[in-house]
Amino acid sequence: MKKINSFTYDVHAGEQITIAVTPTNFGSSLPDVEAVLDGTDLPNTGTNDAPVFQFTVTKPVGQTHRALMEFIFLGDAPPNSFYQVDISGQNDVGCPCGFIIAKSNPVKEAGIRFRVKAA
Amino acid sequence: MKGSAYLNLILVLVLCLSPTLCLAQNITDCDQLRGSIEQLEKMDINTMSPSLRQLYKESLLTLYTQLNQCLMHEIDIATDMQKAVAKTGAAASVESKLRALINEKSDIDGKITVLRTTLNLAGAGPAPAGPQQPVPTAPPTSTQGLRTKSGAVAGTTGASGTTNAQAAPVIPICSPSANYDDAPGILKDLVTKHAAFIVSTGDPDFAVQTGPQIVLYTIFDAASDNSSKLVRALEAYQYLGETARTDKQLGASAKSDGAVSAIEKPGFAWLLGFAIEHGGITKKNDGTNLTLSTSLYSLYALARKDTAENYARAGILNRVALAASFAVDNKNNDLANVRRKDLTEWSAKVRLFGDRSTRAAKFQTFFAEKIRPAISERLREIGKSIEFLETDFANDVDKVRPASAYSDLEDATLTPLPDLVRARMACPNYKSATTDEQRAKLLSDVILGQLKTGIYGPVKSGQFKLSQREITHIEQQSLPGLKKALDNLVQADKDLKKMFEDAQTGPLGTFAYTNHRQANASDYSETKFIFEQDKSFLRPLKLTGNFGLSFYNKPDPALNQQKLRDVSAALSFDGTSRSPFTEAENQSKITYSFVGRYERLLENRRLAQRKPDIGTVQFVMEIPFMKGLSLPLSLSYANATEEERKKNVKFNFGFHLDTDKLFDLLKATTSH
Repeated sequence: MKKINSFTYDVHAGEQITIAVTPTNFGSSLPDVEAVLDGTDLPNTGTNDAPVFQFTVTKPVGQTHRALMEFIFLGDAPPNSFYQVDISGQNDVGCPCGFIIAKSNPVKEAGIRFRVKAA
Repeated sequence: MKGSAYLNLILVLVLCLSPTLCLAQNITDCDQLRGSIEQLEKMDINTMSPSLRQLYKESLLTLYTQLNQCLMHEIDIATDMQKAVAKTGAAASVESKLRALINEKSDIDGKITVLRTTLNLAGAGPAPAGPQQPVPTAPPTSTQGLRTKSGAVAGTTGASGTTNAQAAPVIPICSPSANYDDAPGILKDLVTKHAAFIVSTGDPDFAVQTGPQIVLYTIFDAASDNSSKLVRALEAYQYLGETARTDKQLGASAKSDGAVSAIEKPGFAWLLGFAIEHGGITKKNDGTNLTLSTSLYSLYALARKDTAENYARAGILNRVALAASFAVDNKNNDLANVRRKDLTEWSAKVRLFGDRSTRAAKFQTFFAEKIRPAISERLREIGKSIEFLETDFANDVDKVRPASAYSDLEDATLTPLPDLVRARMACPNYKSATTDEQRAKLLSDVILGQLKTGIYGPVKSGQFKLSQREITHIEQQSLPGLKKALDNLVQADKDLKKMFEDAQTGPLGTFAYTNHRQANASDYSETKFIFEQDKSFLRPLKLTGNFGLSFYNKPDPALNQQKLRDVSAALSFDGTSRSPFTEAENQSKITYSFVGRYERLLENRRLAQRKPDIGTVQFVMEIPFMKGLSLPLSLSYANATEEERKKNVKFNFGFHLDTDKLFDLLKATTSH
């Protein structure tokens, strides 16, 4: 996987991509992240407190996998709470990859693009 | 000086425009390329004629492209080295070098994108890495040559270099490529929020935080008149569950000097968050007492990290809070009061039962069943719409475009966007803008302009052709599906807020231990069971009850003291009402309570000047004013005090400035 920017990555067919989320500074507030890959729910294979979303690149070269995610901050989430999103694949270039969605960010969703490139 | 600069320029140009020399430099000598680039970058382009300026930009682009290739080669080598030296003493320095190379390449990619854009070259990104697909694109609409004639940025591999945003010298681009002020509300809302966040963080990567979504909304706007009408009818999405915090407290105990209330509240729910956000310990000075409070969990988290996973692991540590109060003699330096001799009391609270947090099992079940599906539904609708446009063309009899066309169109618009935003941030009028709102407007214009030229234009003009089947799908399935999902979220938000409020009203039982230290009297310990129930028969009034026993640490028989000091009980009924004095976004309410307290002080028995049975009735009110400022006041009547058999009436008032709330409200105001 190769980083283009925090929300765009080049990947290869068959590559396994992992999106690991670390909710931080939530204290007693419930964290939650929902993710959808190409219009289909992407199951959380981790826990609610440490969500992990994984998928394998299956689209043909030239097309793009899109992971749409929403990060929930409930009313009791402290002002300094945030989600750290770490994205990894194989033979990563330009990483550590990912981004942070903080409570201070007025947009609580992200659309991550994984452009499928020839190996 | 000027002549020498031109001579340098010409020498560099001759060197790099010579195919043989440049080829030799491609892989072998990154340092020489860096030197040449540095020389060129130092030149003042304002003194150049237009033709020389063009030549300057072209030669700079050539050098950047060569350095980019050279860096790729070096990154490959360093990656191999990294693997070879893994887990050895050399790993750190190789890792550091690799990161530096990646960062440098990222900067160069950004510069290439900007230069190619300003030079009107086809494909504004850096050198393509994969097979390029022809992309039907927009006609040139830029007043500054922002877009290429084809408008395409197909197959780009540009990296915007988030982490080096400030270090990379950027060529300013000082106006948007097009005006898209009339963009649909749902799109404009997202872009405006991104722009505001970029202004506050300085990170242009957030321009593409919702890249696929903003591209899709633009396509909806351009696909047909009907789809444009439908997308414009969608309300901007308000993220769930974000309500202003209106309550917090963990002051000194009800008995300490300066306390305005005669009853103690569980006050635990908020403590944790505050302890954490203040680095583990919260400090509160009411003018009479300085109270430092913390929780065992926040101390535990200091040594690790306050992740949700650690919170779940911490178990009982989440239930224990600690506080210490000190008499304030130094008003200028709070922490100077933290001395053993000024310690007036310390206390510990343990939550026995009840959980008002959103981690409570009941809340989690509700969230999983009612809220999570609604959140996913909106994401699914957006994802399905994009997926249809990207892949369903194959089922379309018209076969209107190549397989990668949607990705290429999206990519051509989104990939250069962080660099365009960065280039806008380098402009004099951005830097001289006096407010964040002005800066955000400049950036949102860039993002919307890019969407207009890169997406709206090609779709509207038919250069990116949508089939009738796709347009019908957008009108009859995508947009109605998205609207339904958004409507469901509005209802989910109402349910969530109601559930959140209900969670605050469940029974909560706390055990408190307080050690009172008195300068001219015997120290004693107080144990108390505190119960709070909002859903009582007296609703809307909230019921709080205390029952406690206190013990002397060392009873003094000369003062008629015995081990058991007193038995006390208190009952409070609390209510709230809207405040007419606060701003619209401030949800703080007037709070009031009626408190009755009875205490049997054993040492006062058989003393003529004292009364063993002491009763107190109190009315306490706190009126919030603007932005975190409130007026607490209390009126109390007591039939005696612990020291005197004398009835008394007391009236206390003061001002309370809540800096946390003030900060939140200021931010809320800004974001509005």
